[in-house]
Amino acid sequence: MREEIRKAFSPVHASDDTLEEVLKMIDAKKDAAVGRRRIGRIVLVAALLTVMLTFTAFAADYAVNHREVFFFDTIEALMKKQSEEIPEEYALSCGVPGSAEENADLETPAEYVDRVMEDGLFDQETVISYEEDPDAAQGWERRRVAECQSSYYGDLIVESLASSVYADRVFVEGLIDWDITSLSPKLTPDEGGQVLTLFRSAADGSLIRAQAHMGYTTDDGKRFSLTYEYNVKADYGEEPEYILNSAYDQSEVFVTKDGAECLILGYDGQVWANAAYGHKRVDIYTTGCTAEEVKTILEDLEPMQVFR
Amino acid sequence: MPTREQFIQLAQLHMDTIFRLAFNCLKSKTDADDVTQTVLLRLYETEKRFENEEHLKYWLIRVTLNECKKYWRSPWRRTEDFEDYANSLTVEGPKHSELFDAVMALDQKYRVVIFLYYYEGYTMKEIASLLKLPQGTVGTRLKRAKERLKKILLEEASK
Repeated sequence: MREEIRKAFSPVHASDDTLEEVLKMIDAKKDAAVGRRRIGRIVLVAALLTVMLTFTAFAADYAVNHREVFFFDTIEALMKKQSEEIPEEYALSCGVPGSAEENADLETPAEYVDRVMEDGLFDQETVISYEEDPDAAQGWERRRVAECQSSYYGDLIVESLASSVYADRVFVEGLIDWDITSLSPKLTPDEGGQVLTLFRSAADGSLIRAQAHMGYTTDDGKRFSLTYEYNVKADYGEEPEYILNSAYDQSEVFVTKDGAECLILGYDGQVWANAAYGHKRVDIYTTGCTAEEVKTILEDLEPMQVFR
Repeated sequence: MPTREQFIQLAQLHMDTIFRLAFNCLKSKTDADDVTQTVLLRLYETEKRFENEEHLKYWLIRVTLNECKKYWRSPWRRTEDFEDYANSLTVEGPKHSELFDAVMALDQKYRVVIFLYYYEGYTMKEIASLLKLPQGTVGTRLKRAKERLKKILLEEASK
């Protein structure tokens, strides 16, 4: 069997230009004055860097919570806009959603929580403690504490708390107290599918980052996940979105009655919604709701904490 | 950090291993290329000292697995035709082509164990350490992977 598997996979090789691309990145990093950012090779829908000079005017520029969102009807228009905005040494990029079938392999919320509890979220995390207590007075069912040396964030203490409580309320003292009970009875919380991770400076205990991930199931057994992220090192308002309309069945900005502006994208029975403001961001991914149903959920959700 | 020349030698030696593992994890040539580049960049930048070749390879595999996880978190995936890439490969014979397809038809968690056990030759204990799983879980996954492979290949043979 070993020999057979080896013969079956021996033709699988890295692309011929892999090393060349990496050496270019190394040289670019040495020359670049700006901070590091991961660069990947991009596959685009149409022809690559021979950008046509004529282009279809994009539908709208939209400032979503101070974040710019650009919609484009053609890849050429998107690339032209990006090339005006992005320094030369960075690759252009265009998000293209995977099909529902491809994304069916995505780990479930409970698997995600298990992974957070086993491996953590960062490389090089060293576990300090791990406890399980279904009746813990503090409300968590599993708690993992690790230390981590991050070249970007500095030395961190990472605390992950898995608890079904987060399906109804996300609470971090001094940051957020978010009542999300409006999600039920539309959605059933996934057992073991909710986790809150707090990243604090090892030096002074200050909160650097918080990430809450809540998993649910719709009435017809499909998935729904809600993520809240706070990151003191990120300004989500500074990260523009470049949306290729033709890659989606729906692409729009939706504004709730409370004034929360959400980017909503739909493709192949999947819906993504996100809102960002300053250091905070909220994301939804579902295969069990239409875009209209997601809008209803957003309307009923307590005014999103991104505005606070 | 290695010298440029040392890095080039190490990259040439290991990049196919990284790519094959990433491809097994992600089932996407483009994503696997991205991961390979990222891992090689990490290799260039690491201050870590490796005791020997095996230690280095073990580290590369751990880093590759971690990088692949970042793709799993995101629902954003590039659309590409896996069949096109699979058909472009020059495999030794139809038997090996079927085996390739059968392995790639497995769930990701089984593909990775099959790859690490049969292609890379790691023991179950080593795989357990790489994947940070109990050894029993690795054993179970390997057993199930082999059963499913057998089933897929039998179904294919009966067509």
